[in-house]
Amino acid sequence: MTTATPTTPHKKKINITVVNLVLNTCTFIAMILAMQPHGTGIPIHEWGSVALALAILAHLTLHWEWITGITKKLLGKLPGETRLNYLLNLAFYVDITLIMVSGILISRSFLPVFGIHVDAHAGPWRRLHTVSADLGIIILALHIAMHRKWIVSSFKRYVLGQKGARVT
Amino acid sequence: MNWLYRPLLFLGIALLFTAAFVGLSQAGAFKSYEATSLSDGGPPGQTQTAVNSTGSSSPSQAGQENSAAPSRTTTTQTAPAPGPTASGTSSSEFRSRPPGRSKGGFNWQELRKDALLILGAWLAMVAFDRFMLRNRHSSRPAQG
Repeated sequence: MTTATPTTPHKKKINITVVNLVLNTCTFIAMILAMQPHGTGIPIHEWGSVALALAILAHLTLHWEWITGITKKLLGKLPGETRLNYLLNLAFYVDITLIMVSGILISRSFLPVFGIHVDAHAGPWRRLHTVSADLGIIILALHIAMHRKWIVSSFKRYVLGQKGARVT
Repeated sequence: MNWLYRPLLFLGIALLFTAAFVGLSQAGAFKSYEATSLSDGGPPGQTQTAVNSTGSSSPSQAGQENSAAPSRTTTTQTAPAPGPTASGTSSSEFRSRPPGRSKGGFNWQELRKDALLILGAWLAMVAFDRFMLRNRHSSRPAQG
């Protein structure tokens, strides 16, 4: 007796964890490189940071459910770790916005493309850019540390190929 | 349409923060940064004016010009800048860069510092987790 196999094409489902893993790894590398404007040169620093901002937007969009869920519950009962994580992420969001805004305002390569030339490459925005970037690396370190379990488990599962590893 | 309006919402919130930052700047909240940036911030104003007046409007030109800009020292100045920058020898350095390392290229010392910071935060969180777990285990028999 033979069983008929379905002939309908099987729709491949996108693994959101893999998407997250790839996006987060790229974002992390881009962020570390963005902290080295001397190494990359100013045009790569600025245009790479624009790409980084888009990657961060994608990262936030992928975590929409978590963000909206916790925002609704923020004033209610929540585990301390989740609340701390949320506040840390909020601080990261504000800090990255400040890095981007101050970076654009002292831009030498990005704005001229749009016909805007800024003279104020120095001044308070430059200083704010440096200070917020220094703060950003500290928050990034804490952000990674907060998600270490997810990083380890997804790395084991999808990079090392350990089938038994559960992504938390 | 979720894929469109969700990022737009985040972008909108970022724009609100931007408006707040610009508003704070207009209100003079970052005045103290202006004072400190004169001593260790970017290149002096006169040098910048000279750079801009050369007409480096295309991105590639700007790039060539600007990739060298952070490593520029006061020796490239045509005229002394007014105020505190006139005496500064590292006025064009990024603040986080150690003084004296004005050449281009990756700042490995900074990279090492970043890596150590991430590693330190990771280990601290692991230690904190273990501490909390041990506390929970030790308090369990007392509850039971």
